[in-house]
Amino acid sequence: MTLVVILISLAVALQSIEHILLQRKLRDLDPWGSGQAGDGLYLALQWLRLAAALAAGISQHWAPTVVMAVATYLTAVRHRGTFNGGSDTVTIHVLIALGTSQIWPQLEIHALIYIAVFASLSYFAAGVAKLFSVSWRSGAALSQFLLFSNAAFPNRFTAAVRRRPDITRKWSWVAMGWEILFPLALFFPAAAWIFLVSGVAFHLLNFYFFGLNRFFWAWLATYPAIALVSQQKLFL
Amino acid sequence: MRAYLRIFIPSWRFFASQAAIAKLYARSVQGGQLGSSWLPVLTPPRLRWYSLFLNPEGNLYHSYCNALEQLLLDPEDKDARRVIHRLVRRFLLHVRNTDPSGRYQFKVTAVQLYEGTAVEEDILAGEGEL
Repeated sequence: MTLVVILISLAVALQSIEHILLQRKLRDLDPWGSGQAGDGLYLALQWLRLAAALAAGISQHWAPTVVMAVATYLTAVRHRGTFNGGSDTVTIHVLIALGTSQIWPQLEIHALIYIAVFASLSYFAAGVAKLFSVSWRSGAALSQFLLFSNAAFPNRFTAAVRRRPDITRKWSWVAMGWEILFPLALFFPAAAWIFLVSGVAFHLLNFYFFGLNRFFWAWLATYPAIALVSQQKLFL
Repeated sequence: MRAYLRIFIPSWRFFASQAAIAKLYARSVQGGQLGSSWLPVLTPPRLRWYSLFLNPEGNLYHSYCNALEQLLLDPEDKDARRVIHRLVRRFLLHVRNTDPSGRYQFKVTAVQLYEGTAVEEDILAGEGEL
């Protein structure tokens, strides 16, 4: 559990620093147009969240975790629900589970199971959703996302995809298979290590192609829980 | 209500849908004359190795893209429309250094692949004062 606390605190600290660095540019994304007063409050919220993340990283008390959770929630509300989609959702669920286990230590194992299952299901559901898409099965969807999507950050491999669209079909099936099979990590310790190491590579690739750095840190924070649930055979 | 609950509700359909891809273009109008041709507003910032730790501009870019895609899904979404108006103004005034006395126009297009060829179609437009 200590490793989960450290990793999610790191994720929250990095998120807070990003918001502090953006400051006024974020005003454009404020749906209520709350102006300078809103900017000041928002900046204070990010400093508080950063302080809580640093405190949580060095103590196991519940208070910094609760502050992180509340500040993360308020940050998301300001951005019409989420600032960064799935990474915000994983962050808040991990923080709620952690806070619960810190307030009621007898629930620690339940919190770890919740985090592990939540993360595994996120991969599984994403894989199943892709499997039901004709364009994912043919590889066309991945080509479209890499070549035309706003989400893609151009790099040297984009040109390769343009020259050889057939390679995206293979990679689509690798990604779908990996995501759908990920829950095996919860049952078999040997599989857990394979999936967790490849998961790090998966998120690094997502960062390289789509700039999703927050997803890397948010999901990484769940990996110690998956490893523990698997090693202690909590599902067998 | 969506803004208050959305963070708790997982949506794990990452890149699963093959909906059309939204693109945003803007131009200025000065004294009834077009100040420029249509200019693409959203371009991804350059990623560096340390962006893995801190990628503020990249995440801001993603957030604008989300607002744009939301507008494509629901053209009546007032929050998303407001965000896009502010983004277009910022782009013309601060990136393109446009004379602030004029007006701006923007359009949102949808790009879809048909048998390997990208087809772009105008979906909605808007305008306002710089």
